[in-house]
Amino acid sequence: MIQVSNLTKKYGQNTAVDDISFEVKQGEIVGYLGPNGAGKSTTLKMLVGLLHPTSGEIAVAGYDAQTELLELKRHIGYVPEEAQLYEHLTLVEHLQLIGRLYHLEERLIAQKIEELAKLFDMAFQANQRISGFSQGMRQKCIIMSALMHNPDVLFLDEPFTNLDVGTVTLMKALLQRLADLGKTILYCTHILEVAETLCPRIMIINSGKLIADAPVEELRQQTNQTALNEIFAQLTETTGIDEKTEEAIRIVTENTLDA
Amino acid sequence: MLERIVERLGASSTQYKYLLQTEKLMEKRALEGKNNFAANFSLAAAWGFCFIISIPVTFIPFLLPIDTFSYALIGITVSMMMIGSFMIPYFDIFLSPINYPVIAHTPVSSRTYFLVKLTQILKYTLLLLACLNLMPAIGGIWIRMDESSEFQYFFPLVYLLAAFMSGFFTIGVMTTFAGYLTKLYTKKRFRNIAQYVQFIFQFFFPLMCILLYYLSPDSLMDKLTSILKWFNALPNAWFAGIVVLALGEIERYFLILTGLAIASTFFLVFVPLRSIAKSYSEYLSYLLESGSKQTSKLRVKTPLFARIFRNRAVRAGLCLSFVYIRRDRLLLRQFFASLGTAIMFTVMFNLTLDQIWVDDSFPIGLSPGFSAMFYTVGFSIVSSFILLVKYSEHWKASWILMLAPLSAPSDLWRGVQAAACLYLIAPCTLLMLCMATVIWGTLGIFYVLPVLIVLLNLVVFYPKPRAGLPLAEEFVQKQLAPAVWIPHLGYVLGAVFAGIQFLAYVINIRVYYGFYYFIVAGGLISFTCLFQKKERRRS
Repeated sequence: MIQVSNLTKKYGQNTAVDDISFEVKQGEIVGYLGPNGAGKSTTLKMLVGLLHPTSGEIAVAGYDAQTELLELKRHIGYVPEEAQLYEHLTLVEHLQLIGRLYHLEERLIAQKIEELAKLFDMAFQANQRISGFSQGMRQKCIIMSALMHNPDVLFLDEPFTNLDVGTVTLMKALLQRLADLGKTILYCTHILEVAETLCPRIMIINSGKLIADAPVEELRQQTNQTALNEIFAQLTETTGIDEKTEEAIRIVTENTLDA
Repeated sequence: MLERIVERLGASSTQYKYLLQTEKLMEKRALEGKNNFAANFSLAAAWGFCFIISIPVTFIPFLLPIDTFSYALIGITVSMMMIGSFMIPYFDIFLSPINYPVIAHTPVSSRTYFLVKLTQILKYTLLLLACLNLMPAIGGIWIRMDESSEFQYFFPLVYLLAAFMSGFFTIGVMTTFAGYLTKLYTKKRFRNIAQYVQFIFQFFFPLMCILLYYLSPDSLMDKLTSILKWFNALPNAWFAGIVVLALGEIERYFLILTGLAIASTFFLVFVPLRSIAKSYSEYLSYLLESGSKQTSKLRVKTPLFARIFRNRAVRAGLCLSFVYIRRDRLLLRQFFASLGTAIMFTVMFNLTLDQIWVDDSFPIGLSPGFSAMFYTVGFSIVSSFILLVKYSEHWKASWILMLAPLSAPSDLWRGVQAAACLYLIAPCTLLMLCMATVIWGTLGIFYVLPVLIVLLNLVVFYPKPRAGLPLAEEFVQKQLAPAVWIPHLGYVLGAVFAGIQFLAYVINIRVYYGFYYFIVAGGLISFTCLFQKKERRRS
């Protein structure tokens, strides 16, 4: 369902994504992990067509990102890292806009809005402007938009940020059920606990390079670690936490200049 | 020097310096990767426009036996009016709370932040003032010796000083006005009023002159003289008084005017501006609040007219821009400012209706006054909307539009054009049709038709954003320059259009009718063809 080969993105001299290749099959949920600035969001932006790759090939839902971008866009849903929205719109107006951009029938749009708003406990705020929404409500708004047009592939970039416990539980169950129905999900996150419970397969990116791509069990065997955070630390070489903590304490408490 | 002034005004010079540097850097970075040439050209065009406007004033001493006071009065009046109307778009610098949350929790005083914003506005004012007054300052040397003082060669220096003072005074008055408007935001029910009264700037002063003219029962020359008397009570005469006094005419009258100019400037700085500066942060935090109303019912409604369009991308563009016309502060402020111009021209036309513009000897459909008025009203409203709907403080949300599977993203812009036609041109045309029907009966439609078609074509031909997406560009001060000069250029073009219409009639009645049918039929065909062309491309 998602095929990526030799994907590279360069910003001048800086290589954000360095020659990565992977494949995600239909009905799979794959966790895409990595430290800050590793290239996770850049990869996702290239997959959804918001950024042009420097080189490499992308195919999603059978459509080539270079030649059939429009068809590709029709089949995907995207939850970005930052909840940037047209704040003067109300939730209803925002979802209407999304529905129209995806060429849905007006009656279907209205029906979906009512049902989704109730599902995400947003019916009471549906006619309020987004500018008055909390971060969690904005995130719900983005998730609803990504689900409006029944996409075949979902690209989720930290989708649970700012969500309350109830909604996170609902989302986890929902994503699992969607995968059972044959939807493909690429899930990008820092929260390793969620990735561990939700994603049977994990990909780890570090400094733009894909350093691991295997089922969680296999990664455990490879690294001789049981918890995903330990596996992650070992693979991304995140070591020396105690020394770093001591150094941080020294910097924070410092009030005079060194002689 | 500047740091000392800042400290004197009760602000921190270090914070002021670095905040100002940051604002400049942000403006520079925001334009990186964009068409910087276009922004620079627009800015240069605004200055060029100011320069051109100053030329007729410069030639007055060569054409009329004018005295120094009257010449300085005309020059300063033009300068103050232009600065007033040109500065409206820049007031978003002052009233924008966009970057405020970044520094709101830091120990930056309200006064410091206020001074940073005011400096940014003054930066643009200085250049505009120079362009507006340089030529008239030089022209003043040629005021005839019997009408001038022996120190006439000092005129440029003294005039420039007075003109710059008058410019700062205008900005001070406008900032005070904008500041107190922002204060109204602290009371929710006044928030809309604060948006709507923006139009006062645009039409108040010219309209007062016209009303004074009509309220006066005297003959034409007496009327003009009586109007000029009223100017003496206004700030422009106070600053003109400085010029005459500094050139050596020490009379009680000029002493009073100069005293008024200096005292009012000091009063403005030390009373209202000081008070606004003190509470500026408080106002900004109110601006950050949402104006959302609490509603418990879930209602899914589609705006009127939206269903006319089968193309859903057009419909989406229409609905999005329609919401922003009603709710976006930047758009509303510009829209109501342009509404001021519209009201002014409508009133001007109606006041002058009996004497000049309506003439039975003209053929059907020809009334240069009506055409110019309708065009100006339509153009000012439409251009203020289309020019600014490219930009938004929510431009980052444009990923939504970029992600959408649209075969022709420009369809969204067509939605904006449709919104301009349906929500701005249509009501404007209806109003004009009512007016024309009252004047010419059922034949009124022939007077409305050509301008309506010109306006429709204007909407289609108006330059669209490079990506073809509405609300997708960052709002950068430098890019506001077109909002300053395009409307003024548009008014000139309106006068040219009405002039050509009249000229065609003067040449020959057949030429006039040929021109009329060419505009109506040709305009309709071009509008329809452009529409069909886009439809074909989409399919």
